[in-house]
Amino acid sequence: MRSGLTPGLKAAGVSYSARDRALVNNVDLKLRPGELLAIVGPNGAGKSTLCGILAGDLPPTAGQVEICGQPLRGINPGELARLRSMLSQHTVIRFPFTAREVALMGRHPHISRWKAPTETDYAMVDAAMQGVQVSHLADRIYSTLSGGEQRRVSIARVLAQDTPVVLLDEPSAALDIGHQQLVMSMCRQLAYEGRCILAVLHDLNLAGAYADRVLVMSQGEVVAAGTPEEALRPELLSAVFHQEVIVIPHPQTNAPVVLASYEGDCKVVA
Amino acid sequence: MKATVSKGNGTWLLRLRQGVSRRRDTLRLTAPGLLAIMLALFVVALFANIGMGAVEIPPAEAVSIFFSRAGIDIGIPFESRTDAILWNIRLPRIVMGILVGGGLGIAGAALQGVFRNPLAEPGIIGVSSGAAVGAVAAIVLGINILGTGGIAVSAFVCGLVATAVVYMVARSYGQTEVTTLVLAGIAVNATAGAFTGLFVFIADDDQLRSITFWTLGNVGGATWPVIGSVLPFFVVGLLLMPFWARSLNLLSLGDREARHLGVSTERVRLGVIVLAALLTGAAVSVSGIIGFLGLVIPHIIRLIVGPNHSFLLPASILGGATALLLADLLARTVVVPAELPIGVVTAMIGGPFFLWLVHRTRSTRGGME
Repeated sequence: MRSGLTPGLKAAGVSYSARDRALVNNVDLKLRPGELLAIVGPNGAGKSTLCGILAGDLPPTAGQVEICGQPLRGINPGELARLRSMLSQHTVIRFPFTAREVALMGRHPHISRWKAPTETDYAMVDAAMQGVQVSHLADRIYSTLSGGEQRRVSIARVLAQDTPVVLLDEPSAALDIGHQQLVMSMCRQLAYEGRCILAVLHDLNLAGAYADRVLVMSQGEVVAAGTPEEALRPELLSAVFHQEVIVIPHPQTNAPVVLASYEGDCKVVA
Repeated sequence: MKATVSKGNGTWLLRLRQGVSRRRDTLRLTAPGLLAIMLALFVVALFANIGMGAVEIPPAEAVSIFFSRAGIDIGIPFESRTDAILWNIRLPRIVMGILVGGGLGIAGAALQGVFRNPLAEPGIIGVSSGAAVGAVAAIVLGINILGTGGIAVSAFVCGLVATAVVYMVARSYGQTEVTTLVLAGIAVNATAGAFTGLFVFIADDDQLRSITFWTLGNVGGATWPVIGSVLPFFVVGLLLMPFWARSLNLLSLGDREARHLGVSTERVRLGVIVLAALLTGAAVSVSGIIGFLGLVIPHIIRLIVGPNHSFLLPASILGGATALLLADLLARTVVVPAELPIGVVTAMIGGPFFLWLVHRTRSTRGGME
């Protein structure tokens, strides 16, 4: 990781609207080094749009984003790629690159144009692939891998990019329960190393178990923020998701576990 | 006796077939392996082009001529007539073939990368059809201020203008987008086709002959001055294009991902399109339309060693140059003393070969990607 820069991500009054529709409205957010922030919310709440603004894909229509103390707008693409990495919801690759070649692409911002990747680059790629258990797929063509395998290779690519700020849009999607825990504990590990980790999560329980803070979004706005216990409150979630939920403590960790509350057409066990 | 012969033939055939099928299972070429084979093929094609024709020039004599030109006598005698034929007729044609073939090869490879699509070819950005309008207009309207050079200049300029139109139409808020570029290219190609048709319609018989000759492609018009006038464009294109190799690799992740990894995607797209237009425009203006090379050569290389542009781009230069030399060799030796148009040769061999390749890829890998 780069030294001399304080990792950090700050959004102040960020909004984004398209065709007069506010997709993200006046969001404030601050991510300190070593922190894992989860963003949750129903479909269409503006989570990915917010992620896109923070990554620099979308210019906010209002507000400002700062990354490692610098305004996002002033940073050139090459420098930005050394400050933040981003996992998009899904990645389609058109040419038959192998999994290892794809992971190696994560090193691009660190390799100068006419130079070949060094031993260090290859070592970091190998470590990243090992971390998400895809080493055995290294020579397979990316497009022939299963959805979950592709996801993990993409995560390896993001890890290889080795940035102080890591943005992950649904890192656990398409993963089985084992690999979900693997990827989330890796996010924790990245946070321990002093990086800022932001993850959009659909699984509220992963947010409850792994995140330091949770941000609940609805209709482009932040409706709750705080520790998992503070943010994942049953009455708030029920209203936001239009689904009655109950929240119970996890039997081992006491972290909040969110379950759908069943009324009506559900199988009844007496 | 008869039985022995047929048995012998049978085992020979069987052995050959086993040999081929065994090779198909085990033969996996690496990048250096392919490069070695391509270099060998290139050298063979080069000396075949030097040697074959009305006057045969054996490789040893050719080497001797090269050395004597550099002021070194290696002791192999040659006639001064041979020297003149090699230097004034064959060599310009060979150099032109290398430039045009190499240029079309790398332009095709880079455009396939930028369009994230193995179906792209140099014509996709409108440069070939634009150049055709320019050439045909020059022929029909008799623009020959610069002698026959007028046709080339007109073709080159119109090709670049057509590409500029495609790019400008697809650009909005400083960004282009691949589908829009393809659609704009199709529209410009159609419009250019209409203008070409219009000029063909009003052309007289002599002009029609010239138009046909130009449209079917030909590197026979190569002279040192012609080469000198297009050389700068080829040098710039061939040397600078590999500059984008790694960016093109990243672009295959999609625009957004490429930007996340620090690639200025629009700059890459513009750079590649400009260089491809220069290369293709220069090639088309001096040699007419030579189809298929820019599509097939990158395909074959990608199938054998994978899509890494750091290898694919330079290898496409070598592959394109070799293919064009071989095609030109056929074009000028098959129907002696006449010459086949080279565009006919590349398409006649390239078409069926590509069909076979597509079929084989479909049956062994399920598809081209």
